[in-house]
Amino acid sequence: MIAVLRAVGVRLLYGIPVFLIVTFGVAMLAELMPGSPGQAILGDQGTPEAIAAVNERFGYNLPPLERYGAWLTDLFTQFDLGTTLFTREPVTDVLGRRLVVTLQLAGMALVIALVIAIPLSLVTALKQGGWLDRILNVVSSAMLSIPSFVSVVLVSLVFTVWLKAFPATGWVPIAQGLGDNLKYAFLPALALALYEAAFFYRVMRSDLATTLREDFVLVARAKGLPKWRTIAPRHVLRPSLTSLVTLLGVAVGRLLGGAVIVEAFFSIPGIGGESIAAVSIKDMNMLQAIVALGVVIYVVLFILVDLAYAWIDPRVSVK
Amino acid sequence: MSRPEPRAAAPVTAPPTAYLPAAGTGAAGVGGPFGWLRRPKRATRRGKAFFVFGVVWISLLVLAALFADVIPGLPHFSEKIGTFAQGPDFSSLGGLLGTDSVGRSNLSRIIFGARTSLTIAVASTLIGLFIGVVLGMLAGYYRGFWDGLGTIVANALSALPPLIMLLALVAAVGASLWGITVSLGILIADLYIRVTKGAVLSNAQREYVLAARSLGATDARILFREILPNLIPTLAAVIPISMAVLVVVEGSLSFLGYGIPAPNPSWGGMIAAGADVIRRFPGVMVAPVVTLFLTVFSFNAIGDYLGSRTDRRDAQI
Repeated sequence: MIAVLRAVGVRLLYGIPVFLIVTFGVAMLAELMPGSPGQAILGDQGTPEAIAAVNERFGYNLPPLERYGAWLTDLFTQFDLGTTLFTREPVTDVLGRRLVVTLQLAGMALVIALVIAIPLSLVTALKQGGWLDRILNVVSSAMLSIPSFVSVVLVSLVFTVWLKAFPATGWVPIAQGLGDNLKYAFLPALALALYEAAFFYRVMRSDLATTLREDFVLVARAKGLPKWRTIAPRHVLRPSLTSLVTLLGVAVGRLLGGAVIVEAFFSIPGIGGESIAAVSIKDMNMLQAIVALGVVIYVVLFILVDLAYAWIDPRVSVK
Repeated sequence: MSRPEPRAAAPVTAPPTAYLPAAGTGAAGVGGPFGWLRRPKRATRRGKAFFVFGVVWISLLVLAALFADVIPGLPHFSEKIGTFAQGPDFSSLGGLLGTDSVGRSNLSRIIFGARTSLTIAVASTLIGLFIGVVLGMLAGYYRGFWDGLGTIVANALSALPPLIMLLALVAAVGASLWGITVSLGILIADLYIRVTKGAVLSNAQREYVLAARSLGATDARILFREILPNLIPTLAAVIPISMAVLVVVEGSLSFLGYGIPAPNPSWGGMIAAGADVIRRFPGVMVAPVVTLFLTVFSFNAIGDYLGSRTDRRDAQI
């Protein structure tokens, strides 16, 4: 337990400079932006005095370094990320609302991908060289070459234009009914899941094939245990999960990043959609917060992955 | 500078493509986020066929993009050659892939769009390669301070969501080919830092390096004349994969409308324009979608095949 805590501590320490570099970089990027919050809000009608007043409220009158220092202090002393540019809500509130949506999509996509990938990879690993194995090998490698902005278009073509089974765009929060929520969430989640399903399938198929060559599987076969009912689920599945769990971190990171395209395409009020909106109105508080959130998620994800790795394979010790 | 000592690697937590959208990890493997680089794979006959296809497709694309201005019969990308959303018309070169939603030649726009995609893919890869090889060699050879620096830079770059960063950059300084290229080059450098560092780590203890050192070779000579040539197979397998990633990110940016500005065609922009009229003319986006798919697939296939031919166990991180 001590070792685990120490491992988490070391990784968190590594995360600190990363967090500072990244947020500082974004803050300096904001300096390159033409205009100021005052100009953005008041437009051409604003008098120089009024613009200066608005700028002061956003802390924009401070030199860049001090402004970054103030941002860090506010964040760590009162968990305050400033307010949004136009609606002037606290950024943390807006971000929290958006994050729920994005996490729901990512979670659903993950479940869809695993439900597709694990059974299929078990079947083809046990029937290697069969027709399904050969087809899925080609299909999965082709699917890894379909970018998310193509899969959203294809998914919406099939399910909304041809089948007319789902609403084309939009969003209903869970609070307004789970059924409606799922109806709107399914297509975006599916579009996100396609790539991950192919990715997981290839990882699992390859690991299962390796495990099946192990001596303990031979022993189990020799004992006459049923291949499908006992060996596959009880002996083979768990030792084959190592890479999958390790790569889950990569996948979740990619799902959250991929949300930009999917949420923009399906008009979903998540983090990705918010970041595009923030870019188009040059809301630097919001952008800064989104990038900071991304770094935190990234560091936490990889701590979890390292721990899960040790949990699945007891031979691995966390350092 | 001190000589490298065998020492346990610092904790490296980060995979390279965490935030990158699709593409980039063409093959599966075991062991850590970088397992797919580590596992030596056998080249299969199918892999070789895909590789040959990939080389042919990319070569055609490069040739077409290079000579786009002088291909006889190819209309300019902004020229209307007929009514909108026409199907393929085999009587003229421009109409071969039909027309877009305004009536311009799809073939011409794809070929001129290839210039953007390929320029960004190649130039950004060179920038990322340069940063990554320099930092990765220092980190893998000298360890200590350089290792810490390389790890932190690589982690910081991996932690940045590339698309959001590019959007912010475009918002800040406007969309320009070189701005996008340089930012993408920096954003992709983490991949090369990790791969180079891993390969240098495993090479630094090999007999040929020890032999060179015992002959009195300087660090610079060992790094550039002994180790660098041995990094080429590893890097050669990663370069096409990173190009696939870059084509996708550039496409995503154009798809969102923040890519290379308007009159210039881009594949992402063509797909976005096709998606707008998808209900009535789903055919408009077939050509750009297929082109993009084949290009990403080709880069992935080339990378996978080169990876299976060269022993990528070197790439341990």
